Amino acid sequence: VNYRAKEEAHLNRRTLLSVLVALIGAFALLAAGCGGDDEGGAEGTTGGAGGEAKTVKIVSDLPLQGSSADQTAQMNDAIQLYLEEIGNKVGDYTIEFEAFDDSTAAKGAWDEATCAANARKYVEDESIIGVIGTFNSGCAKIEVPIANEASLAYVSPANTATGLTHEGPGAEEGEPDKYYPTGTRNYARVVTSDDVQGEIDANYMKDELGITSVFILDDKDAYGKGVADAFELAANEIGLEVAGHEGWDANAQNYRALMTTIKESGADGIFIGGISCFNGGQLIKDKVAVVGDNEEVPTIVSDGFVQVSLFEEAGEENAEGLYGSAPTLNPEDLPGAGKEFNAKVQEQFGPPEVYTAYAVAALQMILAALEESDGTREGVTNALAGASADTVVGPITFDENGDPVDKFESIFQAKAGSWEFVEQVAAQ
Amino acid sequence: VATAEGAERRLPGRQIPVSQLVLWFFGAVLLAAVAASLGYGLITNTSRFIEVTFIGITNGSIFALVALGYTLVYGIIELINFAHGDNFMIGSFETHSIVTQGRFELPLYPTTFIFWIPLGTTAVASSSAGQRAWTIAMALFWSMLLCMTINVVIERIGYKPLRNQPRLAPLITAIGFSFLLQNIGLIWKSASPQPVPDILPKGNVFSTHGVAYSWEAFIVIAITIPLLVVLSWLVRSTKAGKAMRATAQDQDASAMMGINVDRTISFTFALGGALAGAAGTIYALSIGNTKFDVGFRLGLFAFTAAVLGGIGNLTGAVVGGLLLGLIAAYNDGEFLFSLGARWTTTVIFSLLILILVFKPSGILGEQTPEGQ
Repeated sequence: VNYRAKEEAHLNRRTLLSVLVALIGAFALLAAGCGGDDEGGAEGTTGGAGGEAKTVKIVSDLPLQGSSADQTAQMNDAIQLYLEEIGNKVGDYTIEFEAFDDSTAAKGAWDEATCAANARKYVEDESIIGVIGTFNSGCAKIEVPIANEASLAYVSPANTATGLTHEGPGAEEGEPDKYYPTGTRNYARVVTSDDVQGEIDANYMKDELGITSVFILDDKDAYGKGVADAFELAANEIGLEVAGHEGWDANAQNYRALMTTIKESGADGIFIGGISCFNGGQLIKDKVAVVGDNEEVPTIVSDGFVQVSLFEEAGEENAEGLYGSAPTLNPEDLPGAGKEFNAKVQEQFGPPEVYTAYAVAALQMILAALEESDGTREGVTNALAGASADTVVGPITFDENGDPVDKFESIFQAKAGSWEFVEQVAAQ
Repeated sequence: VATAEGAERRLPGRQIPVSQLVLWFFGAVLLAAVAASLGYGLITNTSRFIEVTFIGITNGSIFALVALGYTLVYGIIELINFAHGDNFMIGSFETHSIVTQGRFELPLYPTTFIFWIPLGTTAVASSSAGQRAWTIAMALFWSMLLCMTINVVIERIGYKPLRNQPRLAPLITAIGFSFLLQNIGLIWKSASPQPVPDILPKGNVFSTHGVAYSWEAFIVIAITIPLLVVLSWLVRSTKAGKAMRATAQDQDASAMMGINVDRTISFTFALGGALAGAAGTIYALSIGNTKFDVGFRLGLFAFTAAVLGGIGNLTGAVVGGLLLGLIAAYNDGEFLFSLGARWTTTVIFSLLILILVFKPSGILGEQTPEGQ
């Protein structure tokens, strides 16, 4: 018996196994990354020139790298444009603005560690009285509790996760209280949350699309599962049969076997909750190939899929006819001031992105709270609940949770490579 | 070594501990449950079960092709070539270039300078059958050639100087090359998914009783099986294969017998690279989408498949790959205890752990060429 050889073989196997385990760990970490190109975003400062007036600072916290880079860069540009228009002044205050980035190049999306570091930076800088952000709900869940200890106000232009502001379908255990350790709310948002999105989508599916049995898919991530759970709950309430609810693996090479399950379930409609960069293109492709096209088996996707990039990733012909919901107004339906502002954005920075006007609206809400306050962080935070302003996206009033009082979703449909507005549905 | 080990295990006086027996018992029960669950699916829903089986075999074939590359290299120098998965990704990117740009591309300094040779192979779904066949053949050829070259170069630069160093050293360079290739891919074609037009033949090979078998799935197998046959013929029946087996057994003795060890090892890496290139082409064409990080993900699954089948064992890699593909498909199709897609990765790796606990050397045993 060759003992040395045996021992060595044994050792190899152990090395092999430990490497395997380590790699699976690394794989799990990496899997969270999301696609996009690495264009850096704009960072800039608009200085205030006021003499006797008190100078305060407002910052934005957005992912400036990765797939949302174009959109977030324009959001910052629009914020600066608006501030220039009002002469960087509100009441007695001179406003300074600085843009921060919560993403990393390697990840191409928001990053937990960067979010936390940013929040600490804001807390330390006493001149900062408000933050426009965050873009992603997951990042807000990290930043808001840190800022809460310092009573620093956040107004998000795009967060939709239910649990950030209130209990309800899609919220996790202990939400939203765990984000506000001091007990005082320091967070509000200008868009409608996912529980309402789930409800509106379920109703639309049953009443407008005439679906009797639906299969629900989610991307297993906090946002996607939240909106899918909300949809399921609403479907059960209104008597829309749920044929099944599954999660898809963003790292699978294809979803054909999963789609045979959906076909087998006899569902005549599909709801997809999640973000499209979790291999959403492949999902739509396999759905059309196995279950049938979007006219045969109508499909509603949540706002994380309502992006132009989906047409390239899934193929225009596979996306054709998809319905999507998003908590944003049809650009045509913006109020006069909003249309005017969008025209300026179009002229200076190119076609307005979906959330551009909402970034300005978030800024306007912070300014409204600032005017009501004594100019301190606490003052602004306290003025947030119940704050009200006539913004570029119309009048917004925050309820006691920090949600807009008027809740709605817009339904879009994919047609020949673009998302066409279908109708706006108000929450019941 | 294999026989000596077996004999030693059966030495009189060495008893199997009770804990081992209990473990074996539970293992047997679990396997029986899995078999029962699949059997139930087969009987109650035959046509869909067969459809899902086809999907599993198709996906598994791609795992198997990549797994073979791992196992080949491990068999000869006992190195886990982690760059292999990313080499596969480069192959799928090359296929993307050949199909969509109609040219062979070599990203020398990715953003500013890409060396390219025009081939006129641009094809879309509506191109003529002849043009599509030519494009597929060209994509297969150039991807295999590129990946082969990359693998050989990596071995020369990164592994050869470390051949007599502790095993961890080349393992680390392998991981380094993996990230290097991944970043080349990232700069070459950006981080967004790269769609590849569907140029494989459409329609079904046969369709009866609700079971359809598409040409697309058939072609994956039709390319995989000949490659496997050629590979095993190369290793078993040629002079080069004999040299490979000798080198695996004892490099010094092989050198004394007049075998050019360096060239033999390079040849092995070339074979592995060619397989990665072929897998890349098949992946890009049949899935219709590729991305800079597919190599890491699929490479890990393929490596798992190689370990599952018994690393170093060519047949084992194929068995492991097919098994992995089938398990994933059966679970997605809710034939495994109706767990569903949410649990697929968990199920795959639970089974991997179980198999390794009961049979640490993998299903077919760790059979480096020396044991053949």
